[in-house]
Amino acid sequence: MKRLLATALSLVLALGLFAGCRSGASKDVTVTVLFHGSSVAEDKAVVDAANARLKELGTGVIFKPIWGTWGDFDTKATTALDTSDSTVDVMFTCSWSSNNYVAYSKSGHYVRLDDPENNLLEKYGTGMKAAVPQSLWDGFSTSGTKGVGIYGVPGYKDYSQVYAWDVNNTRLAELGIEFESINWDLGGEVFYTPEFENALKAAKDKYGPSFYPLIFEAEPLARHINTFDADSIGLLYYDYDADDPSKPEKPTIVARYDTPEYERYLNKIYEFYQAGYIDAAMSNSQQAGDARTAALQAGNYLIGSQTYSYGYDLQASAERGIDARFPQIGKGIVSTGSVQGAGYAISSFSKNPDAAMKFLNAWYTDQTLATIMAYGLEGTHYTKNADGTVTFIKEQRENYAPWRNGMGNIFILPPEDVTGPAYFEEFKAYNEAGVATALVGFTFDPEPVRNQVAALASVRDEYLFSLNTGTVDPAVALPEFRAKLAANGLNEVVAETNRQLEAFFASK
Amino acid sequence: MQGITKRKGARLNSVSLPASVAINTILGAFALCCIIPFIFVVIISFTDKESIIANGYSFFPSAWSLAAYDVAIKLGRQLWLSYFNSFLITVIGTVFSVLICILYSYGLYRTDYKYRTFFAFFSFFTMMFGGGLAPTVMVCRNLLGMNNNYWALIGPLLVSPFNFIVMRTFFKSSVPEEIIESSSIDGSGEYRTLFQIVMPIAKPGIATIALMNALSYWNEWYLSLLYLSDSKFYPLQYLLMMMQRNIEFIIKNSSVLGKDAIDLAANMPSASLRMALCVFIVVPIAFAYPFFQRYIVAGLTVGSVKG
Amino acid sequence: MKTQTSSKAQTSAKAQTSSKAQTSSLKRRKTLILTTMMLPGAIWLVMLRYVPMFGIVLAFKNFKVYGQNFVKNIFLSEWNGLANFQFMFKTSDALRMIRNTLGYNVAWIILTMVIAVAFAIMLNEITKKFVAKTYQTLMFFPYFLSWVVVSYFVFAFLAPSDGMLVHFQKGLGVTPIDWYNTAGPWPVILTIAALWKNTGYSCILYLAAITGIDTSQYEAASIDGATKWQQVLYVTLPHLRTMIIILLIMNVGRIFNADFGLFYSVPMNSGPLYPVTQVIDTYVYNAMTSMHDIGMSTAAGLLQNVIGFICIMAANTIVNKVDKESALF
Repeated sequence: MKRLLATALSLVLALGLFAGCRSGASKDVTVTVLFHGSSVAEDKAVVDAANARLKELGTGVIFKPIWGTWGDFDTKATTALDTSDSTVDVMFTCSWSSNNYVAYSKSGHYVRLDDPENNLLEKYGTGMKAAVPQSLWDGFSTSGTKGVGIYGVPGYKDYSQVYAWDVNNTRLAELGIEFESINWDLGGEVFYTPEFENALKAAKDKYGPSFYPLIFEAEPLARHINTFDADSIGLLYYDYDADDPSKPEKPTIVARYDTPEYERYLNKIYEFYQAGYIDAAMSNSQQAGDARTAALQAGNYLIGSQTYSYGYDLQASAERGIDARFPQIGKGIVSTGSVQGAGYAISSFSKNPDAAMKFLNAWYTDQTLATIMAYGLEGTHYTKNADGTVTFIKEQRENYAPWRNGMGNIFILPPEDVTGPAYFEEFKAYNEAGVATALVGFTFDPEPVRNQVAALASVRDEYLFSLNTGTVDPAVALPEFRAKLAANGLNEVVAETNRQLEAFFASK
Repeated sequence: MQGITKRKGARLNSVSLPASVAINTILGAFALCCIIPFIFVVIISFTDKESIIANGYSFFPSAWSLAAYDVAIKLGRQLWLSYFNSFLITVIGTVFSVLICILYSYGLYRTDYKYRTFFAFFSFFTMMFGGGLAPTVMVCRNLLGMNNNYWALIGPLLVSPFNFIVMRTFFKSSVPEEIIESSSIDGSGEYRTLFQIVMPIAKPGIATIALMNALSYWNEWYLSLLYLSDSKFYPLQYLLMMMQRNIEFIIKNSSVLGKDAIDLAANMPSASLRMALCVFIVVPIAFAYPFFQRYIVAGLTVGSVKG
Repeated sequence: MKTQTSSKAQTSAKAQTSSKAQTSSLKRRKTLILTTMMLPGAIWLVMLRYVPMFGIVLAFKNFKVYGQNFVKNIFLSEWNGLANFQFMFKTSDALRMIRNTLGYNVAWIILTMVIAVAFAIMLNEITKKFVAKTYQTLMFFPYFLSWVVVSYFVFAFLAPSDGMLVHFQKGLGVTPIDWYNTAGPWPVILTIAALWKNTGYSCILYLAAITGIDTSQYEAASIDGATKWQQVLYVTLPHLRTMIIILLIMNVGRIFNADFGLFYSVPMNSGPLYPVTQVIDTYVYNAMTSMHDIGMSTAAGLLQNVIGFICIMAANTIVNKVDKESALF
């Protein structure tokens, strides 16, 4: 039995080593790319066109996509990395997916692109380096197995994050309330005024018991209490300056749910829930998404909250058939989370990192190639208009719709007709208006306190959702929640974070 | 003599009327509870979307709709391709897994087989310990070539140590050892004894194992997630799970995706569409079930005739 | 004379040894042939189960990538003792989730067994085969539905605003229960769901075993004047004993593993229900979604398996002492 195992094991070793020695010597090298959030049923013509373009560009690369969807990407990506899969060369990575950019750089799963010994970025990526703003490269600088450097190419999309109210102005007008009469941008921890509350009450009175004027997301707090979003468990917090988010320059982290601001928020939201302003369906994490979307799409709400994206006013108004407005809460901020919202890394197990880099560079810099990959083929999936915008051909587009924000450099794409020809120019200005917080580039590394983080994740899931939606009485549940967080080592996590943060500031 | 016939009659129709009524009531009620959810799923799949928004799920929706079954049109070729894949995998997988199971558990059943205990422990041990996901996937993909092919969906389910033990128990309780001894004296080879003498007796057990294996092949989706990246191999169950996982992902990450999440959620298949897909999945296996059951019941009648 | 007898004795001895040799070679041949039957399954087990077992060392290592070879990476990674196991105990919920996992498993193992055996015997007593067949088919139906689908169904009953039970309670003028935020009824709801889904499956195993019983045994008992009830006690149950014990032992081995889908999907992962729904598997799942750590997830699985293995070996030893025939090995 033992001998059998030993033989089997050496067989695995031998075969594994053998596989490691094989090299792709042919001229054109295939680069396989794993995407996120795709909805692609038919891609042959598009891939052929992309490869024809790659040939024209003389890259010597053949592109092969794996269209990961929202539901399967995490498993596909982590399985490929955990099993040293050499068949995936390039993959999407970011701060919120399972193949977390920082964590997997640290464990050595991604190739360092600016490795002094083999600087792929300098060799093949100069065009790309120039096309993506420096602030994004800075945000992608992380500490991996080969030192501090760039382990992935940032996706160039919206990186300035703005929280906004989602106001159904059609109903507000029906109630006889002027949009301007409510002060929307309060900043800080106070998110409501008497006018805000009166509007909710008026709507409830007018539209009856089955109308719920207030719509919250799963994590509403982040929208209303200034926060920093670089910890993986959503328990840590610091209060930035609402007028200048880059201040304070060297903040200290505190436990978010121990703060009096949070308690005030909970008391208010509980009051709103009791008054019937919030749908009970929102208290169930599995159902909240469906309920929220249904209410928003049908215009069955008065006020919601939203991460604003440039140009969403027009789109939302058209889709919902109402006058939807998005007054901003505070200034746009640039944080580690928003910068690392999308990106592409080369797997350490790729046999052809050079070819992978050549492909990425071509994709980020060549408009024709980028357009083919994101939009499909002209005449089949979209038509070009005189003003430079594109109009999608709906039936065909349904068969080929990658997630646009995950498609590398989206600023070289032609804009869509609904958003107008100047869309990307305006979008750039909007991005640049975002203020970088003091913590850009910092990411919490949970490893030294991973036992506590595991325990806290469970405590959070037990209490957070029902507290945040006002379903449970904070007078009872909040002390319980706080005691349990403390019992499971929240203070150690906070101390560890501050220690890491000091080291981060010292290294700057 | 008369007494005996009477009692024999009593055996054939043995339970008393009140007991029979009680049995039928209990089993009937339970059977009803078991089928109602499925009927409900069918009703929801035919319920109009507006009716769900207005009244929630109901056995008596205010409006009916065939819209969910547009999924058949929308998925188009993929639906029929996935149907084909599911059938192919189930049929091939069931045949081979049952064959392997019969062979292995027959050895375990034979008390005169020298290595019986070793092989029993050899298979049982793997029920308890495994190398974990990543090493298993690594071996299957790199050594055994399970990557984007039907083999990847059939291979990993070919053996179930649990079924070995269950099958051995069926052999034990239905095949008397004397039969094997006598056929061995008659000069019958081991394989012939197994296939011509033992298997017909063990039919109910084999049909049961075949049913279990067919079900696990039909319901399998995780292997597709691990080993497939080409949609032409996707089985039906995977299509449903993918929809479900897409929806869950978006719910979980709505704060990250922001506006994208709303756009996406708006285009997600509705509850009724998911139910429709569920109907597509359950119906074939539900119809295949009586086929297996016939053998289980056939065993019963064979027994009666013999008696 | 003398030589004759001696030669006679010689020949008979010769014949004896040759027949002995014949039987032993026959025996070897039989062993060989039976071993060929084991081979397909055994080879599969080696390739898909035993070979990947080298991965178990991941539970004791801090896995890092050093090169492109997976096996080499595992061996090069640093040992970190039992550090990967700690997260399962360094939580104030450790006792709670162990209690839930064990408690539900023990209760359901017993309930499922009793109900499934009872149903199988009842089904066997129904004389109209068509009726029996119908019941059996319907009972097996829940097994087809995944937990996700079951969770929709439960939700249709319990949904906070338009669930059917909630509507019903409102109709009666009672304040409806906020089911997904009230932990009290959930042990019952989960038990009903588990029994509803799994009884049909076990029932079929038992029914198939009953079907294999030779009917002449019943006839004999009947002639001896045994009542129906006595026939069940003295003929059916003894025949089912092996199947019952085998299934029991197997279930004991999974006593620290919970049915993830049931505990995660059916209560919709609702936080306020954690006191009665949190089990080891859901805890590990939640931890791993916040932090993807291959060492920790391997450690969790290994610990569950080691405990299960000890339980199974203990159960098997006891069975071996009491009833050798029914033991696993």
